[in-house]
Amino acid sequence: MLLSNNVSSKKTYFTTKHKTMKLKEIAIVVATGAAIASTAFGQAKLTIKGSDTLGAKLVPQLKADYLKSNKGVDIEILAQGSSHAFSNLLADTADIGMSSRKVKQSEVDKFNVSGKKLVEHVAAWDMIAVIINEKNPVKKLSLAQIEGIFTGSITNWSEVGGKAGEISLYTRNTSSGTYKSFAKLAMSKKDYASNSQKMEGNQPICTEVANNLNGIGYVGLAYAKGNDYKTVKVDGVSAKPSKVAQYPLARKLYYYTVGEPTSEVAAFLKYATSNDAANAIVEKLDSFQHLLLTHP
Amino acid sequence: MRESINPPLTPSCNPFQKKKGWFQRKEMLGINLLRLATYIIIACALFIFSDIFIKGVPTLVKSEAPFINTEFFTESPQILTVWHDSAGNEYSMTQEKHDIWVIENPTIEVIDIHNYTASGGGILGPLLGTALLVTICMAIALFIGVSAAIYLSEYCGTGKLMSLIRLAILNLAGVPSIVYALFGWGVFCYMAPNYVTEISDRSLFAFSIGGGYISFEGWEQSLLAGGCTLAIMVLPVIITACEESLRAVPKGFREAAFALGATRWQTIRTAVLPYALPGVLTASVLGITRVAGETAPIMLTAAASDKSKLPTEVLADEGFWSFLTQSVQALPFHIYTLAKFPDSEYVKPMQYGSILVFLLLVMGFSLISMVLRSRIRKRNKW
Amino acid sequence: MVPNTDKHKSAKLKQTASSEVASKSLFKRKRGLRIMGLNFGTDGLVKGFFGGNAYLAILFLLFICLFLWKSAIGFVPHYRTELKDARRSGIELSNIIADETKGHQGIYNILSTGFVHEKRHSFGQQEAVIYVYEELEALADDALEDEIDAYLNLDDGPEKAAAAVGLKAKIDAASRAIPAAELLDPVKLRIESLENISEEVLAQAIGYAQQYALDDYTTPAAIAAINKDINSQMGDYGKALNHCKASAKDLNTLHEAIEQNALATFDLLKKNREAEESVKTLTTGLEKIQKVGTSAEEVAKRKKQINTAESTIIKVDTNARILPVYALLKKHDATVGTMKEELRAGISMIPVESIVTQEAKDSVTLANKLLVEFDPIISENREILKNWRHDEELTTFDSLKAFFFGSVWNTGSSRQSLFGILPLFTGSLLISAVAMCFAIPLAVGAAIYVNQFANKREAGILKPTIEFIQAIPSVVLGLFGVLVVAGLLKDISQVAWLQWIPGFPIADRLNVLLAGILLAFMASPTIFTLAEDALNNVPKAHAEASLAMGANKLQTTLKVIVPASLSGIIAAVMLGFGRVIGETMVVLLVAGNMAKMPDFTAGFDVIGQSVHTMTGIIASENGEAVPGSILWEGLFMVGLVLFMISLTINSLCQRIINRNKA
Repeated sequence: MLLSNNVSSKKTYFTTKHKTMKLKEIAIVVATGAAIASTAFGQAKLTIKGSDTLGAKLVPQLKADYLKSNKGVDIEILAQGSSHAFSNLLADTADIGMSSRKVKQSEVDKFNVSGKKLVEHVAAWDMIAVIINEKNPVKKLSLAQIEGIFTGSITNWSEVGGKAGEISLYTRNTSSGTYKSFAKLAMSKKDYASNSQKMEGNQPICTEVANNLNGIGYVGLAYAKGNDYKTVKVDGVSAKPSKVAQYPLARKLYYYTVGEPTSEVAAFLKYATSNDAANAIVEKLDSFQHLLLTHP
Repeated sequence: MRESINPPLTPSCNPFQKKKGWFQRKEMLGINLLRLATYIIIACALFIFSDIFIKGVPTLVKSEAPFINTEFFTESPQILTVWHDSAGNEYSMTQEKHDIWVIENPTIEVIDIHNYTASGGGILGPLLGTALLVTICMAIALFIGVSAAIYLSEYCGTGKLMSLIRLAILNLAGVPSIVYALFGWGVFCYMAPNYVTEISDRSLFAFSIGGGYISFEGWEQSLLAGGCTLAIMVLPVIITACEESLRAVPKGFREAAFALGATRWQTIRTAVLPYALPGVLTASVLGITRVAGETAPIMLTAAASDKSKLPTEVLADEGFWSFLTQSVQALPFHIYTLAKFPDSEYVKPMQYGSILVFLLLVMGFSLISMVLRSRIRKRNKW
Repeated sequence: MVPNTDKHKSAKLKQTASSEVASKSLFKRKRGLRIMGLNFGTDGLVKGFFGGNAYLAILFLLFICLFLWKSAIGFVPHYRTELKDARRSGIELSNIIADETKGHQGIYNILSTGFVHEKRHSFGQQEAVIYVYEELEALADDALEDEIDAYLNLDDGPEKAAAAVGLKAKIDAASRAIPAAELLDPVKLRIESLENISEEVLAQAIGYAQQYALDDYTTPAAIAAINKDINSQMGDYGKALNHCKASAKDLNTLHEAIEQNALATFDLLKKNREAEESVKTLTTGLEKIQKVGTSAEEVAKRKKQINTAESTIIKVDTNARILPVYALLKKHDATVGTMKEELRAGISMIPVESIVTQEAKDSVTLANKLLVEFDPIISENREILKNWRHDEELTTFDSLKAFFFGSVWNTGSSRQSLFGILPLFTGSLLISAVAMCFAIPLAVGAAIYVNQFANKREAGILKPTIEFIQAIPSVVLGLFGVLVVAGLLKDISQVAWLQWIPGFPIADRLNVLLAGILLAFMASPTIFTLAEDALNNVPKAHAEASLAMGANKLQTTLKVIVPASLSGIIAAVMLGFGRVIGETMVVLLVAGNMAKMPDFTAGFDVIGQSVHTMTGIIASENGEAVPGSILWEGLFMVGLVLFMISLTINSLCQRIINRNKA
């Protein structure tokens, strides 16, 4: 219906213009792409990142209480594991790092060489409880047995006095501080058995152990009491706050800052680590009653 | 349309009754098996919906007018405080309200008090965060995507290079979201240009401007990084869908416009876009559905599990750039966080309430896109 | 038909002059603004704008590919260094020997499980004393928790001694108050053959409760004595078992010595590597700052930091440090030979004829079988160790091979990090395969039914409903899986008459089967929609011809329509597969995250195991990864593999679909 020469002229229109178009297109790309503006810097906000043990329950509640008397402060919490604390502190993307383990030497080195000083603040004491299914008849395990179980050299419950059955291991994932603390406290830094299931948080471990007769896992003491699972005595000591001195799997939890904290950070840390205020929170915490805020 | 083509056979009219009967039975068996497959899928869907609905609805409604638990939509996640009085009555309310309650009722003794993180209040923060993420993402993706689609379908021919590019875009639409997440995490969180007063060590490149520096050190985990990542993820989907709807406009429309002497842009504006618009709309709603439901990219690039200020408050207090570079709570990530909380009767309502709202939201968008699509199909019969 | 020269234009203007009024408002053309030969008129600008955005989009997408490649490719040399360090320090060697100790441990574990079973069967009553005592201890602990705590807080002295006496009496009383039935059930769990506990045993256990250790946390001596007594009564069996255990003593010592040495060297190397990295970062940081312009003070400060960092680098002489390892290695052949012989001797010492329980007998048979399988592994290891050199060069190819064929993924270790994608890849594949087993019959069946058999109204409801499922966000499905389906599946798996289903009964709640079921549900709508499309595209004439030949509807469908649309259905299935293999949240929440090669020797029961996936590992280990670190690059490498897989699947599908269209 249309003249064929019209069609061909259309075609030439495109082919001839094609090359010159590109230059201009690029100019416009640059114009649209570079339109990144910055407007203003507001007040300092507090970013707290790191351990799930601290960040899932304790710190959010400390935050809520703190904000009652300090309105207008913006506090952000992201709890995905202790390593997060150091990588974010190093990258300046966090003001406070929460860690359920002491900083590693290699991490300190990184801070040192980039001219930053890492300052440690003890947040609380925590005990890592080893949990097993409620119906599991085992009452206690020695530290050596725990090491054997988690490194994979003991694979059957009957070897530690239980009902015969293949042991199912539940551990935290690698970015968790509890993962490393436990390896250090209970496994003399050996590697976990390859058949360990790496869970995303403490609660998933509890849930799995509660649902698996042959399950064993470890959690922060905050999670030690629950339905259908129980803690075992380790070397004869039960995971109770009163036995923190004897219990082999007890550890400190930390806040870390780059340099001595100042202004808002200092105010929050002072609050969070003061026994009076923090203990009041801890007492009310759901199943967190046993987290000790004793500051040495 | 698909009525049975075989006429019903009655035994009386059939001399080979046994054989045919067997055939018939075999056919019925086959059809019923296929029917069973269909209804298994439907049954699974119903099971999931009804379970979430039954467990989630109590969180969203209340017995007195207006029958909707408005608090759930107007408050951010808060700490839930549960306690008993000496008479054994149980109270549960957000911590803030508890503090007021204690002052108002000094005579009642509070015993056995427990706090549950993020189990009280509502989901305003995550909802807002998701809305903002989706808005930013769609603004970028539609702007680039629709123009790219127009260019590809209206200006480009069907040369080898172009069809290769088209194929590449189509292929990228199927790349897993976690790969885009990885990309966004690497690029937007750690490499994008940011305006800072002090250059970080990880900065790739920096130059001074005004009082500070433009430093290529990324936006960290932020609204902007999340929005951009999602935008990149959904871009191929939008380009492909838009281009398809542009191509669906009959060639004759364009030719007629050209015949009247219209320029190419005039043709596109008057003869193509108005007819392709519903299709573009569908594509964008489809994009929203895909983006709103994603968790992995948000987890890596934008999410905060707990945040005291609403994103809008940050905008009011700290300005636009802080607003864009703040991390936000998002509904899917909130659900993921809730998944790690204890199995407790006090946490369950929040878990199921959030899931239900999220599900309704995403499903709603999906429904809109399906309705739009079917209406276009009915209307556009050129 | 747009005229592009002025000549054309003027001609056209003349032509349209008469109808000027009609066309003016709608298609008015302005003369373009030309600068340097570029047309900056509206049309040109518009085209430039669209084109710019299109190229921006293409650039972005290209950039993704490049960035993934760039970030991932750095992994290869990094991993090579890591592996090289492991070799130079002797970790590699230690790992090889560890295989042997693990093999021994495995055999011993099997024997020991059998032994425990036999022991409990034969000496149930004596064993019961221990278990009853443990129950009593725990119950007393619960009952007297506060008092025991108070006692422990007392200072040493006569007061404490007096308190101890009182407390012990209380514990005794408390343990006597506990009804026997309450004690029996948990004990029966441990000793399956036990029908009843004799009065004597109960009394004995309650008596021991008095010896309850108040301040030291060890087992009371009496309990330890019982254990020893039972073991001695087990006689030859016990001795044989001890013999088996002791057979690896030398090998373990050897292994430990080598490992200690290797670890120390490895740590040093790692530290140095990190220090070198830091120096590099600092130097580039300084350059950056100098470029922007900064104070001399700052520069001096940074230079000092660089010097400090440099000073932490110590030269490690791996050649010297490895010497003790070589010395130890010389003993290896003999030690492992002794281990094997002693183990064999130990097993043959077991008095098989006098064993009562079948379980114990089976354990010995199994151990013997494994011992035979152990032989070739040992001789193979011998060969490897004979030729093993700490300074043997590792090529880039080796590092790639270690990544693609390595069967261990172990990061976050305080030792050597291992990045073998095989377990993750297998996990992803296994889950996808299970998902496809469910999804293909259901979704393709549904597509055939809706397309061919459902009447118009039914299809009108079914089709959108199934498509609607696609919108369920994966995190919702994942959480639903954890909260509801996991428990349900486990309960179903315990039902006796369903045991023929592979993987049943399920031990771990989170496993391949669960993930597969949930993902099948996710993939079904994708497969359904595309398969239905493909069926729709079959020309009507096909069906009509078949029906005219006298075939019935089902025959027509299965023998004519489905084969005609087969390639389309295959494309649908493949796209569904692509969707499943790239899914993250569901597998992260329900696959169990066990980074271990699935045990395929279990046959189809493999689907009851937990696995880790490629998508899951990225989501769960990104928190640990610092930009530029080997873990970061490793994760990008996994991402790249995923990327390539999905690209391959998609382009294959496109090809099939396009061919069908043509």
